[in-house]
Amino acid sequence: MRSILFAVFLLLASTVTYGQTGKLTGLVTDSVSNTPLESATVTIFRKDSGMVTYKLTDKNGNYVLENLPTADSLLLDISYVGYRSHRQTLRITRSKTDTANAALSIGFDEKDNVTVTAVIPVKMNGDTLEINPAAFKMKPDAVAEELLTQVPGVVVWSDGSITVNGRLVKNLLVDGKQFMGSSDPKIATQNLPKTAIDKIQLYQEYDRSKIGQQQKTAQDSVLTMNIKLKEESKKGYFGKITAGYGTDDRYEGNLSYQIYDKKRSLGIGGGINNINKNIGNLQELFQNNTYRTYNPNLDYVGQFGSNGLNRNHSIGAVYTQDFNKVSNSRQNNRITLNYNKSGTEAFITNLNLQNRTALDNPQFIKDEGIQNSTGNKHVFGVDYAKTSSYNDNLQINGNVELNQDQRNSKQFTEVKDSLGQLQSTNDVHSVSSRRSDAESLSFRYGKSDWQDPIRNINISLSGSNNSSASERDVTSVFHSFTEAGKDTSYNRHYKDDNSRMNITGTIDYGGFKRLLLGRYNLFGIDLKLSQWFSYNKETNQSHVSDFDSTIQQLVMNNRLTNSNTKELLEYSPFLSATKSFFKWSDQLSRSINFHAIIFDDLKAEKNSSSIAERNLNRSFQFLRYEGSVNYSYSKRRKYRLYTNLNYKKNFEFASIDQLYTITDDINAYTIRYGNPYLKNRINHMLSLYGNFSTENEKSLYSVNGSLNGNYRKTLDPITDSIINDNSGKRFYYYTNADKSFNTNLNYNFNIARKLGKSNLQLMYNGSQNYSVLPNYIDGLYTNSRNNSINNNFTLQFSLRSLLVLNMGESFQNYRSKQTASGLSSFKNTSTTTRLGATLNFPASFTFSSTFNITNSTGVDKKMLLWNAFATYRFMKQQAEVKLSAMDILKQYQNISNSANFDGTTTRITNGLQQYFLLTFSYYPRKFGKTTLKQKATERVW
Amino acid sequence: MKHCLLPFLLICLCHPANAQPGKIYLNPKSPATENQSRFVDSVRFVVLEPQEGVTIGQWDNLEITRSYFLVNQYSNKCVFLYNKQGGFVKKISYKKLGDDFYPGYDKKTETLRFYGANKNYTLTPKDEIKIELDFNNPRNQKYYKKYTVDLTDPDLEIKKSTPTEYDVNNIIYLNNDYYYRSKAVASKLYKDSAGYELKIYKNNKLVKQYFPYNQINEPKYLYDQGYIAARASQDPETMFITRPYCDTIYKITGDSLYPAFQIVMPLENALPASFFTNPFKNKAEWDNFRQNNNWMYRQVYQFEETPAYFYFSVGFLYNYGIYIYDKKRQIAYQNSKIKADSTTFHINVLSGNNIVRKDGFFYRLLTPDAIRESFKPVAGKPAPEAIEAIANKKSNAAVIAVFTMKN
Repeated sequence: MRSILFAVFLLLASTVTYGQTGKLTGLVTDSVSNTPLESATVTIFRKDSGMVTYKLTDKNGNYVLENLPTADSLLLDISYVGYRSHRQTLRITRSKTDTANAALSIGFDEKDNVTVTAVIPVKMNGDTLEINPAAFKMKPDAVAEELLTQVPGVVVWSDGSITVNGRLVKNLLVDGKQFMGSSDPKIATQNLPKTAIDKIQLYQEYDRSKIGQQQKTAQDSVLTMNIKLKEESKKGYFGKITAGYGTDDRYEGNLSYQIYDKKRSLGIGGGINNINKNIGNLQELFQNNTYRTYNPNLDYVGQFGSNGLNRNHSIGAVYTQDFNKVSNSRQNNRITLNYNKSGTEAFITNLNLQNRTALDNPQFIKDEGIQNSTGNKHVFGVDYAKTSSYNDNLQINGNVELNQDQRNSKQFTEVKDSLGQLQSTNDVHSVSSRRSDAESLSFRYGKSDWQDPIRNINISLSGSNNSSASERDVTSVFHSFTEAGKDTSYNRHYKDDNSRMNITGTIDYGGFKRLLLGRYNLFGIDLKLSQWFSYNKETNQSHVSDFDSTIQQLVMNNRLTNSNTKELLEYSPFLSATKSFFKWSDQLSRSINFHAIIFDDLKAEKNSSSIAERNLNRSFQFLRYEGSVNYSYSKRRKYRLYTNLNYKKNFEFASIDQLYTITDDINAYTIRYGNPYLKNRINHMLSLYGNFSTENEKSLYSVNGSLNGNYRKTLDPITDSIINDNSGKRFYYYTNADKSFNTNLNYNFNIARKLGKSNLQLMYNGSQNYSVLPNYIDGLYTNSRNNSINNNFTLQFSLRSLLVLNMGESFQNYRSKQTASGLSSFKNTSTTTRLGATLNFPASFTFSSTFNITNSTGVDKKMLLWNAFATYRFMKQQAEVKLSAMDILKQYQNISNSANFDGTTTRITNGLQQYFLLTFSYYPRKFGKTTLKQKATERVW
Repeated sequence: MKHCLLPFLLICLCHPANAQPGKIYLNPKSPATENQSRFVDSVRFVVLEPQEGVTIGQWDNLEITRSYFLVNQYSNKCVFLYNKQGGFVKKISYKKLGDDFYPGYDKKTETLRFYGANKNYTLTPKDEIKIELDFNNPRNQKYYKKYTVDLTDPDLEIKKSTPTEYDVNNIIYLNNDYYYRSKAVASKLYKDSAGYELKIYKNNKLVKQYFPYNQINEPKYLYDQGYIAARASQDPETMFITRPYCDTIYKITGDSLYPAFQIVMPLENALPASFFTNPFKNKAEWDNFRQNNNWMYRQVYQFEETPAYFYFSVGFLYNYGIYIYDKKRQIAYQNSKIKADSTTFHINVLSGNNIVRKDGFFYRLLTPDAIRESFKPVAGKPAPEAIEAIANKKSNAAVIAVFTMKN
């Protein structure tokens, strides 16, 4: 597969359009002085007003336009700020160089009553790159994102992210403000038509989350895209209303509707479906129901990989009110209110087949289950943000969440030894219901001013309260085929009431150095004193009773019935010191920054319980430290590099539930015991981060990549000693091992190449994880050495807006090796090949298809999933009919294979099967008085 | 602007001999363009002797002393001295002095003066005022340091000196032993509200003061310091004086001040009347005003007059522009729009903000990269060998273009 990908990449990269083309050169001058005009815009249009190409004149007023079509007559438009434009029709001679000089005179084009600046496609205004949509002739329903794909230096990646000269756009604003309460680009760029946009600006903005940070680095700025709407389009609405019905009674309905004006916006969204499509998150719903067609999200469809057959519904709204009129992002005074109600009715059948390691005899476990569940969730949220500059920040956030779940499940487990002899079975039936509510409130305030350092402070406070009440009836029948006397049978009722309250706060005082040392500079080392505190109170009441079949009544289980209250007070003062070094010149800038923190962790825990040994009061003190080095290097207009190395040490203590576990043996395969002698554990953590991106606007290539690595060594880690009892039961005992290790690496590399208005991009991401986890299995000490590798490639070729081809390959590998002899080792490999295509032809039609092939060890047959879609837009592109053919080959099976240090598991569940769905969508759209068509003034001949 | 009017009228009355100030019509975003040869005359290039470890960049500044070309490279905190023929004389590193030091050339004493905050201390604007108000207190003298290089001494070594009240008060020399305090700031730390933007001294005595303002709560100086700028004029006895937020350019002869020119700009570039009367509530509000009105006028800084042109730089609230004004045609050109032509082998000597004038000549420091980017051979006109060598990457020398403005 890799060789195929490489060959296709080479093939596409070498694509050159051979055609009948010619060349045009010329000189643009001032008509009075005859002096050449630099940066005059020379644009060639086709007869249908479509822009062929454009260039800015050089310092001497010269221009050269190449690869011009010779077949048609063309319009040459030469314009310059403050001058009357020069327009002439011409026909280019094949294989020759034609010349067209122009002498412009000062004044305005009265005929159009517009200044000629309107057609300059891209220009730098100070530090801001400005894109003028009017200069790009595109189809009437083109959205901002489609426009961006045509701009030099801008790459819209296949995952929806946008980079400009290699840097990721992290913040999107519309008229200087968040759009629809979100900073994700998709809602704006995939909905707003280019005809509604005055200009798109790109610039670096200070990252407000870094307020109070003592040393500012290049990483403290974020690339921001600001879409400036035309004055008449500052009020409008857009959305998508979809209804569909298909075979097997599959149905889907979605609503996404957003309305906005200069100071307010309201978004309403919701949906209902039985195709496992996730609609619970309102922002995701908005992001996935956008107007764009040229590269539709082919993954936002019925999810064949999901477990079970689920019916989902949701309805919600988000309202944003701006209290100030200014259109910059420094000054904010905004409240956002949101509400969302979502729910799922799930029906899942599953069969799990596990090959599990045990001393000398790997066990074979078969789990069969069936589960019905319903869940409903209500979420209310309020966000308030007020800022008056980049140096202050006030945010208040409140959330209330209400949940209600009901679940009915049956599970039958069989355990066999390596010879296939049945050891035990467990039959569990559970009916449960749970109600919970969670309330949270957070407050953040930050202020920094170098002119008044004594007042530099950052405060963050948050409080939360959770409570839940649940009831559960469980019958569990365990039968041992090896020790008859160990059979158990329970019919148990659980009633739990839990509540948890938490208050956490951090106060960073940046004025500490000034307060302590006055004007003394301390060799340029910055000092900050911070305080972190947390108070946590948990109350759990558990009433457990067993059904006595003789008296036909529930009898309280005194061993399991308990009440516990835990209060934990934590306080950590910490002192941080930072020293930075900078160097810059014409071509480069670099900085290195050293940061060290020392913490004193003070903790006091009070436990009150109905179980005597759990009445435990403890206190701890840990002195710990952290250090980091940041290095950034930027070569102007070439590339930039950022690296960070961080070391951290911390301490953890065993929880009361690990020390004095309340042992419930209703699940015969997970019977847990505590260990009051557990030691505190020490973690040493080292992390490395690096990213690299090119930023050469002249290059056809855009490259970025990052590497993130973590290493953790734990001394005295808490681990399990697992005893597989002769009866077939499995017991877990907490214990300490000497040390454990974990290393992981995540990396990605992306490269894109512009091919005229087409684009080729390769995205790669991968991860590796290696861990050494000590544990005991049947009394035998072993180190599980686990190695997992994950690699994903995606290659996408976009031929203008006509054709988008995707090809992807995912590769996962897991290996687990036990160091103790007699214990089994495991490995598992799976690969998925993904193919996708979208064709936007003929006009108003879109045809797309995806094809996935999955191979997995342990699963003999390849899993194939072929989906295809046909879409037609009509009623002035505001209505759409779509036919979805899902699992055309009818060969998809919900089988997955996984592995961990216990063993490998093959899971088979019910899920979606082949279906065909016909959906009708309507896109209500209006952007002020702007129609969806190109303005007549843009057709200049 | 109203605040400018009263003193302006008074001054006019006091100087009946002087006519009404000449108008300079400035469109800050002027699209006007011209060939460089229309303005520039007698261009010659002085090649600075290349030296290992010396790479002159576009942000380096040029100063002309009596005997040297002085190139200040702040990014590396060093000064390169060349003789007037371009021969390398010495590199003086001031890295060890601290970040706050920047060399200032004092033509009166022919010294290079490094004056700044002691690197062992961090001073806020409030601290600076407190120290200034009580500078004679020995405890306060540790906060500033001063070093000098005697440019008449062949050793050219940095020597420690003692900061004086003159240094703390930003004293700048005028002609004929007059000097002035250039800083204008408002603060509650001042006990006396009567302040003057321009205070002229001679022999340690205050001889005249102009432009009164409220030193405690003047709205325009509450969150922003202002500085009076003085530039030499064609007359050695007279200098140009410019003030923050005032569109008039004054001339000063001895201690007598009179308006010489007035910059006339479109309304959109003018500060509203409320700017001068209503104080901003806080610094954030001031910063937002500044950034939201980035093309509003602030001050003329460099101002050079030649018979046919004015060369000047203008600071706006959040922008900066450099212009050449054609007196005859009454057109202002943005320097960035002026095109180099064949007379200078297409090397632009007017772009950028690094042009200094001395004794009637203009001097522009050109980096080797700037020459390579713009140089084009001209048929029938051999380019200077040194310039060709730079263009062909055989030499990495920087060049000073010396020219006059056409009459």
